Amino acid sequence: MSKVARPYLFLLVGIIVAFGLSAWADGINPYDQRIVMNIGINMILAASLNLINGFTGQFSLGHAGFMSIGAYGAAIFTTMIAPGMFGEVAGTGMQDVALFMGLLFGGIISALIGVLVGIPSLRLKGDYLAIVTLGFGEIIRVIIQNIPSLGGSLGIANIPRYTTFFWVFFIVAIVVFFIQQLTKSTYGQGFLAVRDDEIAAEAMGVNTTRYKVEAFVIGAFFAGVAGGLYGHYNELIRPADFDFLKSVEIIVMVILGGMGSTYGVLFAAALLTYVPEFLRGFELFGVKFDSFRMSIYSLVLIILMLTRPQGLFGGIDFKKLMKKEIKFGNR
Amino acid sequence: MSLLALNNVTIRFGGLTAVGNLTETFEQGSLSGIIGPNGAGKTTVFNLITGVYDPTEGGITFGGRDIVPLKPYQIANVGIARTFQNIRLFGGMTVSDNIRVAFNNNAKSGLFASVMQLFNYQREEENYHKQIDHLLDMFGMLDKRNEMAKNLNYGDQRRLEIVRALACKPKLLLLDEPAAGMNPTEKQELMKLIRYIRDTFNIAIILIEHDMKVVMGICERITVIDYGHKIAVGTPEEVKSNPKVIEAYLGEPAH
Repeated sequence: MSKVARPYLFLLVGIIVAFGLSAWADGINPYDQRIVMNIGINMILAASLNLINGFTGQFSLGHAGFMSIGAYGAAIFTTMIAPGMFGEVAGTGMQDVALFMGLLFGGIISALIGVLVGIPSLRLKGDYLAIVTLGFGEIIRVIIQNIPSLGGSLGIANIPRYTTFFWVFFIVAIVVFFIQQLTKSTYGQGFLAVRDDEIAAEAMGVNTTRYKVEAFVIGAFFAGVAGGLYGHYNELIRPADFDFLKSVEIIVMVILGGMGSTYGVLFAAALLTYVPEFLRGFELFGVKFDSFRMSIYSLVLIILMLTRPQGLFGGIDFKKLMKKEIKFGNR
Repeated sequence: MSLLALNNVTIRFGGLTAVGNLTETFEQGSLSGIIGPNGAGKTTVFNLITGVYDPTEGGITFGGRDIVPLKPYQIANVGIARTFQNIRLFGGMTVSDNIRVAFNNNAKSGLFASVMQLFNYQREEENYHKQIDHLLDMFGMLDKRNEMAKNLNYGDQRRLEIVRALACKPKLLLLDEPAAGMNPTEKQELMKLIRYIRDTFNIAIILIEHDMKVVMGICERITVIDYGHKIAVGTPEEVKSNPKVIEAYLGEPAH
């Protein structure tokens, strides 16, 4: 198989999986549907944050801020701009067009704000950058809360439910394809070089500022798209949905999955979305876990971090593992 | 015209003059050394040349071009590569990826071409891998191409840093204490390696080194710095017998 075709084949497999998932999930009960949907959206958020935190090594704590920009942007597009362009689209094939354009609209606004925030703040490193991005996330939330035309703290209600399982997992596939291809390319080595040693990267002719801003902007774009999907599933978005805790939730997925491991992060996103819901109905020796499920969730995090500080999949090279298997097989 | 010219370069950190009024030129294809006691300002000179610090006064030209206003990555792109006193490899990346970072600067494939990875991209990529393998082969590290840089032994890490710098296709290579932490046999090999690099790649090399055997053994010209000021310059023989140099290293003779 040619080297060009292989990644595209993987993308195709991803899209087929998205189809399969949507066929399966359409039949399950609405409660489980919501879990599956949240898993998909969290996968997009975590994978995109992984490009910033994991691959480029810039600690951003403002991902929920970008998510909210995308959510509001997309909602504004489908509720205010799209009806003027296409008329009534709900229920017709045009609803997907409206959603697609809405997601793009939200993503691009989020990316533009990513440039605006990124250029000054990415001069900072480590803890300082974390504080600035944290501040940014909160500023966005407070600003939105105080704009009456965006519904203030009540948010925007009656957003049409355009998000389908196919859309969510299709975008998961695209994000994974994008990030995998980018970080494997020669161009993409710049992101990893910035993470490992900024001074050495600079001495090798890598424009570190450009790479950091690019990672930030790409991450912001996909976070915005995820926000748009969230809004068009939830039918209601409020500033409180995108608070500091949401950012932390995404960070935890990235750290738990293993910084810089896309598949690890996807797995962690699924696990951390499912576990709290799973514990709701869990019973052991007649003890219901429902009331202290969040304590158990925290305990799981602590144990995992103590035993695998590099994350579940961190430091595992799947390519090498697979090659080893084959070698053993041939012996 | 000389390749690199420092013209009255001065840098002050607060009240401390780390480098004062340094004027020096380095020729194309030359092999020069900078020596001096600890804290004399040798590494600061490298940091000034590579743009990590901007001089407080004075100018630096490279190939006739003023490089003071350039950022470190731009200076690397005009043809000055360096290694570091405390090895700075990209630890979490493989040996070949460490070198691949160098190709990033003149890659035609930008962000989107790199995501799409179509035929042009593949051709370019194959070309890079050929060059990487060739370089690694020259330095006897081809079998380690897929190892993580942080897992290499010390000597290989030092060597990889040099290979990585060479992959930037520099006209001038700055080596900051390349022999630090090496045993006598390794030092001998290093000396051979440095000569070999100069002759095959036909580039100028400046090295900072504390090991006098290494410096005296390979450098054609040596600049001695003490307290940020140039106190002597010349061939190894001239420098060795210069009373000012002896004084800087051993103190004033007793009367």
